[in-house]
Amino acid sequence: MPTDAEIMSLYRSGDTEKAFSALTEAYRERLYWHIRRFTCSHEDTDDLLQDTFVKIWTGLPGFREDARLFTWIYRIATNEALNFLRKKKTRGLIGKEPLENILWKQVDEDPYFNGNALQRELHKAIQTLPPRQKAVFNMRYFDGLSYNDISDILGISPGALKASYHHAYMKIRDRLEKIF
Amino acid sequence: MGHDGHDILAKHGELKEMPYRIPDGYFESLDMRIHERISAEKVRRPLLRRILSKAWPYISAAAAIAVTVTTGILLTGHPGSDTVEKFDYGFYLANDLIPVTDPESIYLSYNNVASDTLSDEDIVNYLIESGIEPEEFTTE
Repeated sequence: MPTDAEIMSLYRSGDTEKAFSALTEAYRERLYWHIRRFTCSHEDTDDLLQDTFVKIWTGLPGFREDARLFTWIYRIATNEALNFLRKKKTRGLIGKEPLENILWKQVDEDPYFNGNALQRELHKAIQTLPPRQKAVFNMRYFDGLSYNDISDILGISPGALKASYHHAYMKIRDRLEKIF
Repeated sequence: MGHDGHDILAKHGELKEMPYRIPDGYFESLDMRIHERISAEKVRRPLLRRILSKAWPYISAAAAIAVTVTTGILLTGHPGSDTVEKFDYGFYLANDLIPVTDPESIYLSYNNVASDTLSDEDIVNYLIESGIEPEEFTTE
C-alpha cells in the first residue's frame, strides 16, 4: 500500500498517472467504508466516493504540504458524507419522513448486507446519532483513529471529541443491550 | 453493561467488521469511473466560467436597475401611502425586491405562485445553498 509520502513524491515528480493510481489504491477501500457507514447504501457510497476522489484530485495542487494528506483526505470525505446526510434530511422533511427512518429502512433492505442481527442493530443504532457525533463514533470505533487525528479532520478539540464519543458509545451500547 | 456484566460493544469482535458485501470487481473499475468524472469536471468548469463571464454584464445591469428602482420607490413612497413604514410586506415579496430566505415565503411561493415550475429538488437545493439548516424550516 503506497504511503502518503510516496503519493506526494509521485505527484510532485509529475508522474500524475502513477500518483493517481497510488492515491486510489491507498484510500479507495478505507474511504468506501468510511462513507458507507454514513449512507447505508452501496449506490450512494459509490457516487460520493467518486465525487470525493474528484475533489481530492482537483484540490491536490492547492494542498498545503504542512498538513497531513491523510487528515485532509478524510476531511473531504467526511464533509461529503455530512453534506449528503444534510441533503437527505432536507428531502426527508419535505416528504415528512425523518432521516433516521429512511436510513433504518436502507439498513433493513440492503441487498449487500451479510452480517448477523447484532451487526444490523448496531448499524441502525448509529443512525440515531446526530451527524457529527456519528462521524466521531465511526472514526473512533471502526477505524480506531486517535482523538488528535479526528480533531484535525473535524476541527473539534480532542476534549470535546472524547465527550462526544463517550456519549455516543453509551447511547449505542444501552440501545443494543436493551435488545440483546 | 449487559446482563453478564460485559460491554456488548467490546465483547463482540464482529461488530467492528463491516457486514456488507461489495459487488465483484467494484474497486477494479473505480479508477476508470473517477477518471471519467474528472474529465467531465474539466469540461464543465471552464464552460460554467465562460457562461458566467458572458452573463456578468447583464447580471450587473439587472442589479443596478433593481437598486435604482428600490431607491426610487423608497424615496418617493408607495402610491396612496404617505410613508415608507406603511409599505405592505407583500408588495416587496410580489416584486421580488428582497431575497426570499424565510421558509414561510418559500412555501408561499411553492403553493401559490410557482407550483408548476419549482420541484422539490429545486427547493432542497435552494435551502442547502442558502445555508438554512433542515431544523429551521420544520413546520411542526
